[in-house]
Amino acid sequence: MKIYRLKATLLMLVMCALSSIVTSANAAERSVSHNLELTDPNKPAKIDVSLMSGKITVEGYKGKTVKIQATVNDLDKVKEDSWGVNVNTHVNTKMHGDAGENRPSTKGLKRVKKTNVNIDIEERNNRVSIESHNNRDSIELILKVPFNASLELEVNKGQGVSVTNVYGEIEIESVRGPITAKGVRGSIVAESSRSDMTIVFDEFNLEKPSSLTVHRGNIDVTLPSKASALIDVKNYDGEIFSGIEAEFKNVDKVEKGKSKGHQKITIGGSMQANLNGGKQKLLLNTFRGDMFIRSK
Amino acid sequence: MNHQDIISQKIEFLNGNRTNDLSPETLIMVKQDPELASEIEFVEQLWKQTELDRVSKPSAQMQARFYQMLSHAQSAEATSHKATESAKKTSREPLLVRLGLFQPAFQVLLLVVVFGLGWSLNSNKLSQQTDRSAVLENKVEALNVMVALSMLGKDSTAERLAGVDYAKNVSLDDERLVDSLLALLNGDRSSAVRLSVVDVLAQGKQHDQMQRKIVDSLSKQSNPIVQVALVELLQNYSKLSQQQLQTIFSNEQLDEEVARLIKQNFAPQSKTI
Amino acid sequence: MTDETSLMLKVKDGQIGHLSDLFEANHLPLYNFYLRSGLNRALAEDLVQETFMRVLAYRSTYKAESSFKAWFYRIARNVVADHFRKLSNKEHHESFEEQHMEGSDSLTDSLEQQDQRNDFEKALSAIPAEHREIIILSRFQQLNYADIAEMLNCNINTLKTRMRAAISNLKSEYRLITGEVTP
Repeated sequence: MKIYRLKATLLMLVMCALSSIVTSANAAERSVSHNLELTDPNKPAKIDVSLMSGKITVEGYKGKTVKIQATVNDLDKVKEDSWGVNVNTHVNTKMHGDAGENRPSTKGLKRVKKTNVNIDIEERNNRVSIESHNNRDSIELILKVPFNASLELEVNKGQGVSVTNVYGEIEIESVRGPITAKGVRGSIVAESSRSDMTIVFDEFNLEKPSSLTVHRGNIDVTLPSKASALIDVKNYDGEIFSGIEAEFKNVDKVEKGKSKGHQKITIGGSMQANLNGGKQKLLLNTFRGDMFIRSK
Repeated sequence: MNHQDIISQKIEFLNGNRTNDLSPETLIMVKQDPELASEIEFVEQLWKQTELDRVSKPSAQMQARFYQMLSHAQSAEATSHKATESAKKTSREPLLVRLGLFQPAFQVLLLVVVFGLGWSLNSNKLSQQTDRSAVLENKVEALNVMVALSMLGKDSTAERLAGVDYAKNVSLDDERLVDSLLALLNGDRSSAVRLSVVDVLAQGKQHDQMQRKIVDSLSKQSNPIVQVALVELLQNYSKLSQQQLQTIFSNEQLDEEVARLIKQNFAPQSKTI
Repeated sequence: MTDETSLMLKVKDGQIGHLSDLFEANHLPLYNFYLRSGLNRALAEDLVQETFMRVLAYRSTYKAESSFKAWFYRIARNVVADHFRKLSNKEHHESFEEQHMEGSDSLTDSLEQQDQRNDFEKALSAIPAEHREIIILSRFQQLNYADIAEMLNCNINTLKTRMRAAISNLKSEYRLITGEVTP
């Protein structure tokens, strides 16, 4: 059994003048890359990624290793620039919020930036774990994985997740950023709170159900015309646009209430379409957003 | 090397998973740190205390029960292929497709059904057959619950979704199953799983205790889609009390639109519902 | 590939008679795992039976790259978790000092050894369940770190941290019980 552990520690020597950081646009950005071998290259890999902030891009390829490229952007730098702080002077206490008023003087001192960024990468029995929970850095992670890999991707904030041509089981959670997955062949469970989702199935997997959930945003899903899917839609506030060869019908979930003399009120729009025999479920859920269900 | 690495090396050595004990350099490190040295000493004491390794032996019946189960399973296995093939030819395809999709469940059911049928055929008395049929039915239901529970506990969200879907076909009389579903409703990281649980609970019996649990869940949910689904589910019950409404509105993450719906449809002055 | 892995793969392939080999090798440690987890004898026997039924029912989900032990004890954990979900711990829980360990009255046992064993077990029962579990899995079931980490679905470094905390906790409890330190 092999265990790989790569600590990508980016040590930025900030003994140089702050002005030099400003003049060099890339000074707050560093890249590391690594080619990770799997314990058993002939078996499928499972890739777990958990980022606090940034973007995850995964692409399937015909190789048998996992290629990892991580680019780290210092969020402090981004914050300073976007707040218009004059970084040519000493550290501006306004950056530190309420605590700033009582800070000791920094006159005559140079700021030493905390730039240690740890990305933990571990491989154990073909299970690859990539984690960074540093809230101060935005990490752009680009992975190339064998086609048959499975993915579990999670990013809290940033630019979301993009997956192309990965054929194993996929789970994606992106709290704030958009989710795009194309060339999907395994089951997929994806959830985003505030951004749109675009999923294109190459094949619709019959072994396990798939589910796409967006709290506030649109879902755009494309299915092969021969997919056998029981499409279950829950949509509170939004339109449904369908291009598939199956009719959507209302699902009455509160039938039993009627027997008690209760009056049924329609709150959400629960609808179902049976496409080509509906052998496996595809759940589509939005609270506020439109759904586009396409066929190819 | 940090302290936990040293302790883990020691444990792996004591368990025979590592050929070398701590290196001389590491031992120097250990000696320099009294806290660590004391922990290493304790680990050695605990691992070398052979008296702890005494084991209790189970009864002979346990072994007999296992071999009985294995024997039935082998009979079921021998007939399973035939059963699956002939089943595919019948017109009841949707059910069989479902069983085919959940192979473990199918295997367990088949095991019990084959066992049960053999048992029934050997019986001559009608009353005995009735009793045994009821016993068999209970066994199948118990195994269905077991399979559902196991699927609900999976790490994979897609598998948990499949488990919730499977639970739709299992009686919700079993407390373990209801408790597991409620635990998922209140704690699963996937909104899709929580939403599917709401669908299953909608098929269950309506009683005050369940209404309380739905209200309690509504007071915790952060996702407006799940909130709306629970509001929909609450329509199966009688009006909400003032206290229940307060519980729901204590949820700081209750979506404004959902709050409006609740006030509109469940407030005491409401004439509908 | 370990013997157990290849046996399990045979069971997966339909040669379910090989389950008896896995039963013979594992039922005793499993039974004692349940006893150490706080179950009484009758219940431990029931859960051993249920565990092997689940092994049979879920054999299709077994994958060669997984350690058999990790997969097996993951099932065992689920079995006991399902049980505790249903019943309150009080009803069926026997404290460690109440557990009668067969052979403990052996003439060869010295009183001192018995005392020490009881103190360890008392200490073990006094620490939080998640700490107790990893110590039982490592010390008594003799699972390696990789298997325990796979079972608990955590990485090895997390497990190392938890194990150290568990050992430290157990040591403190043990010393309290033996009077080496006062609370």
